[in-house]
Amino acid sequence: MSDDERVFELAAFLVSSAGLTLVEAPRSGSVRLLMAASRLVDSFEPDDPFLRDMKASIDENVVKVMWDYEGLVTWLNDLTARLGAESLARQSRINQSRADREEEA
Amino acid sequence: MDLYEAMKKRRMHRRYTPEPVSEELLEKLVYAAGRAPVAREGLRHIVVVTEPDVMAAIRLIAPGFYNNAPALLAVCADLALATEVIGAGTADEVCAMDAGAAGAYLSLAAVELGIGICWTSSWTPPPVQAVLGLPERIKPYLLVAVGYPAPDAPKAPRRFEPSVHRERWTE
Repeated sequence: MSDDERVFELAAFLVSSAGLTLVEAPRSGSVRLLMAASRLVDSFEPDDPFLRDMKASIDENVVKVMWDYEGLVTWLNDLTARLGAESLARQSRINQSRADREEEA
Repeated sequence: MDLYEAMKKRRMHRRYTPEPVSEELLEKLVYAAGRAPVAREGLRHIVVVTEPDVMAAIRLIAPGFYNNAPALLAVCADLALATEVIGAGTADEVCAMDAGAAGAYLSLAAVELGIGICWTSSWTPPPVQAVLGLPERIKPYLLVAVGYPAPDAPKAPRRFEPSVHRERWTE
């Protein structure tokens, strides 16, 4: 599948979800975003253990919206906290790499 | 199979094997859906989808169709006819109830046939109507995924139990 096709698939899902979130409960909007994140990882298959684990976690937990809302919130809070820590670690690596390049120059 | 046994065993599946469902079994599901109560002749329409291209397009535009089923049944109604013969005030609700009844019947039939299904209603009608080529008067109410359940399918979540009240409402 080409990048254009991947982008179309994700855009179609997001735009269709935008139409749906106008009539769904707000919590379902959260679910649509999570599903889009899962589809994004699925589509581009990045060689990134964190993203693969995150997708697996989303696929396993997103359906909790139907019978375990509190469980969904707890899981999502934990996931976003781990995402925050991962973001900081990655940003630190990017900054260090940039600093190293500047020092070499 | 005993009817109550089928009620006990019925569940929704989201993971399926790639094995296609035979026309014979799809016809049996359609028959079951067609035997469910419906308000008037001519209201219920069922679109059977097995073409991979159409299945893929539905997955793109129906966010709630979250599964890998090889087939689907779209339970639809002629809303224009319903409005004419039932009335504008209740036509949509009546068609939704009819679709729910159709879904219930085919849910029970699926247990007997060894098929997995999943109702989905988390999508908006316009893109589904476009993908299925439905005339404007035909509104889709349910997209039912159909396939053979994957062996590694997760355990069904707990059932939603009704609150029952006798004679009058009780808190």
